Amino acid sequence: MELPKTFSCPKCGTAYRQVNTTAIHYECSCGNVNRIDGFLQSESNQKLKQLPLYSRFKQDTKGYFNQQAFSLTGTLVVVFKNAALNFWTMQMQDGSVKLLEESYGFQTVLTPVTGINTNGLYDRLNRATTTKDTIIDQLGTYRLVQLDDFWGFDVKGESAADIIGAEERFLFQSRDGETYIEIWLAGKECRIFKQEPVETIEDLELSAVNPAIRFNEKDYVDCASCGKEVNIPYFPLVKNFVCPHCSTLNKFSERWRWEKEQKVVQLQRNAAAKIPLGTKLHLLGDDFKVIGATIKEDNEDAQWQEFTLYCETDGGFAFLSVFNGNFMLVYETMEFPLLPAVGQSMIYFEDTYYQFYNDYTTKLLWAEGYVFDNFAANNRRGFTYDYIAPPYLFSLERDGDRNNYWYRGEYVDRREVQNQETPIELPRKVGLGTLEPSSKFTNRQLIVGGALAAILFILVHLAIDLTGTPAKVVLSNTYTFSDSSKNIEVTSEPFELKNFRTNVGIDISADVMNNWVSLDYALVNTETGQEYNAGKDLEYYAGSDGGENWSEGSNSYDHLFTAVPKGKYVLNIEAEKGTDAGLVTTLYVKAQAGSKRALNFWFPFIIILSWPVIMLIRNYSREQERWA
Amino acid sequence: MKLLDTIKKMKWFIVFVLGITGVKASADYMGYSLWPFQGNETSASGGGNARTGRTYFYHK
Repeated sequence: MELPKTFSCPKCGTAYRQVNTTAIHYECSCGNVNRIDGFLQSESNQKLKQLPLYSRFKQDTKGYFNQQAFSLTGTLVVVFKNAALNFWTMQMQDGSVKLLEESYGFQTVLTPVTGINTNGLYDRLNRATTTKDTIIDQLGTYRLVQLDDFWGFDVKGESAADIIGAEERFLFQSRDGETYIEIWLAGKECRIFKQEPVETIEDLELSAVNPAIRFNEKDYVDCASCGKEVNIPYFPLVKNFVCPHCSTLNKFSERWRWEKEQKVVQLQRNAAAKIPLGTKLHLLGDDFKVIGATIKEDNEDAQWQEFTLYCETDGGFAFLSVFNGNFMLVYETMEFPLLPAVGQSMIYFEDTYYQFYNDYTTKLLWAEGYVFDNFAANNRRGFTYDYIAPPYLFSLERDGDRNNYWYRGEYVDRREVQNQETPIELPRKVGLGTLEPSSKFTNRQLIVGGALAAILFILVHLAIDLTGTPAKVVLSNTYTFSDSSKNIEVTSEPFELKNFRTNVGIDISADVMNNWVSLDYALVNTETGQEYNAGKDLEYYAGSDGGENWSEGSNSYDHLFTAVPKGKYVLNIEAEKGTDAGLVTTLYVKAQAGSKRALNFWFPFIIILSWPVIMLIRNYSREQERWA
Repeated sequence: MKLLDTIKKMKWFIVFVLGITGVKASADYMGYSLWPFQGNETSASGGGNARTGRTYFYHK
């Protein structure tokens, strides 16, 4: 087993005892970066630069990953063409080394993969695109997600990351979308890492972290156009800024210098959200600072604002997008679905279906402050594909066929933007926002809520039926009018109502035709003499007029005595036959104690279901508006 | 958690449903009608006795 060695800095002579025998670089206290390659030498690679370290992690911090203890010995700060990342060396308890890749609020763990047959992989990497499968030996079949160029690096502490000679960094996603690998290509040598996302810093159980990233607010450069000093606190994380003196967009180039890109032309926009740079915002639970702003236009001439936000909570960046007075917060994600096929209408990720909403090209029109866009990208014709599941968004930005950037978005309620500490002037809201929920309730919630309410109501109704007075027929008979008498008088058998209150229903029908019969009926309490009276004239007329048959009236009727107190009752019915020319010969009477009132079920049942039904209709109507 | 969120969001609807169901249960037990426009009813708990009017139809 190799033991840690002690070295003397070639520049200042200071002794240094390495922590890890696999260390490749260390930074001496004099600031010199030394390379340990059998012997010690000052690192002379031309890509070694002076770079600030902006990180949530600290050197010599201890933590746990997959139940294994580790300590952070130092980091490699790397500037790529499209990003800037820190690769912390994780000295694992078992002596192995992993890298903790960190930046923009993300952190992933890279585990070196060895024993891979890399014959021919160099050629396959050169041919790899985001739409073609690439076989990586026994690791399986992968799809390219991003390809980035190494521009420069710096070392803080002791690093075991082998960066020397690396020219390109490939990020691949497996065909099942579950695993990611990262490959650093150095000449024809491939350094392969398995990439595992770390959800939150807390998952690493670190002994110490920086609560927030402190940017060097005094770091500055001279504007490539006017030569005046401009602070660049977010470099190298953000590599574009608009000079506040001459409004020229400066971008950082591979030549390791700031270059003038284009003067930003002022746009006349009245209907815009006015959020000054430096404004602090609290959105969706996180604290942000506005550090830049852009106005963009798509290929259908729709324009929107995008504010660059630095997230003070996790050290990442996000974008507040404003279109027609509707807001959404968008941020890059390192976990994403598989690349959708051309014309794919739906993507599925983490138990949610996202529906295809729009595809478009984006053009930068205007910018100020620190931004991730520049005007050169306008010529690249990158395509953006938006998939939505309000209030959420998945957005794919395809920059050619070798870079896919995935973003997640979430609807931000206008009131949340209005209720910030600093008052913000907002444009008028027009229409339904792309991610604005149709209502506070989803269709699924309304259906489930309505169904549960209906079940509860029906159960209560059935329980009342079972425990209430059973229906009992107390009178059912047919009576005939005689030729001599035009009247019928009927008295039912006595019956007892035992409940506190009961209904008594009466159904009457007669064979009346072109005549009428007058009915009077009374429910009489035989103990108290209390009477409840009602009456009805049954009349039915029919005939033909001009060849057309007609009829009026009805030959049946039902009546309900409601809330009848308990006691013994009889039902008296008096019927008087009409004097018209038509017929009335028989009368049928049925009386039932404990009659149920159907409307006492249907009326409240419909009231209960009306709210979810109305909300579902409203949701449907608003969805039509969204997709119109 | 999702169910709890849904219940929290729909708390007023739940209160409404429980209220209506309670009213319906009470009305059923007490024999009251919830439908306000019922013509062919006589309430023993109050109100006047009912008699519907007679209509004379014109015919030849």
